[in-house]
Amino acid sequence: MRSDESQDPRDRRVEVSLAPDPVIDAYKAGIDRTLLEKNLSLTVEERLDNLKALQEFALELRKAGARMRAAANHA
Amino acid sequence: MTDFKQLLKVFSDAQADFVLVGGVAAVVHGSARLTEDLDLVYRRTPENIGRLVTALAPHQPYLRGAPPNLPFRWDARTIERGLNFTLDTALGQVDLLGEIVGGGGYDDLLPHCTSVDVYGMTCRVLGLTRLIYVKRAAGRPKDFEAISELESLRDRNPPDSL
Repeated sequence: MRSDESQDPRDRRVEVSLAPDPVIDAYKAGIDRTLLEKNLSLTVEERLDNLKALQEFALELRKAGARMRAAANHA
Repeated sequence: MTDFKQLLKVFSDAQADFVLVGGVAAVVHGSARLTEDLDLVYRRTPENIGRLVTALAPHQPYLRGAPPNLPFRWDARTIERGLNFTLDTALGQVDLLGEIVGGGGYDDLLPHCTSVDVYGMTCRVLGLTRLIYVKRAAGRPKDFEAISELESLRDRNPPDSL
């Protein structure tokens, strides 16, 4: 995907091709395009609001997981 | 959890020059992926660094993942002597980036930006094509799925439409 392995952000010599990449293309088979279509039907503000809701949901799941593990450890 | 709306307001109210990049920029373009931090490329002028410092100071910025009680000072000198800062703040996680791999700094990114009106503010967002470019440049395996999603969005839409 890139011709320079440097991770230095100051290095502007990085050359990148936007040509089709077989690895990236392989991942495309798993993309849920219905989600993308749904998102594209929303305003930008609604997309960011959904991101916040998703963050809240992820946080709740993490808390639930922690409670579950704590309960298992005490059992 | 990161309060994207409030963080954008903080930087916008301060009239700071920045470009939204990373996962939030991807969401703006239609990505359905979860991201937890706000990635910004900021203009590295003394004036803008001053605006960023003033804007974020009330929100307790601290180096993310660093041990507590490090002698970290949130001031212009710190920003000028560094480049990229991954921060925890009272409003959530913010990555303040002076430059990004494959994209360079703020002025390098400007020609590849689009403006978006959100929450009553106008923000600069890295265009979809350039976002794909910089993610490809980063070359991180963890980004492969994100890139494939962004390319699917690009193929679905006219270039850089929102």
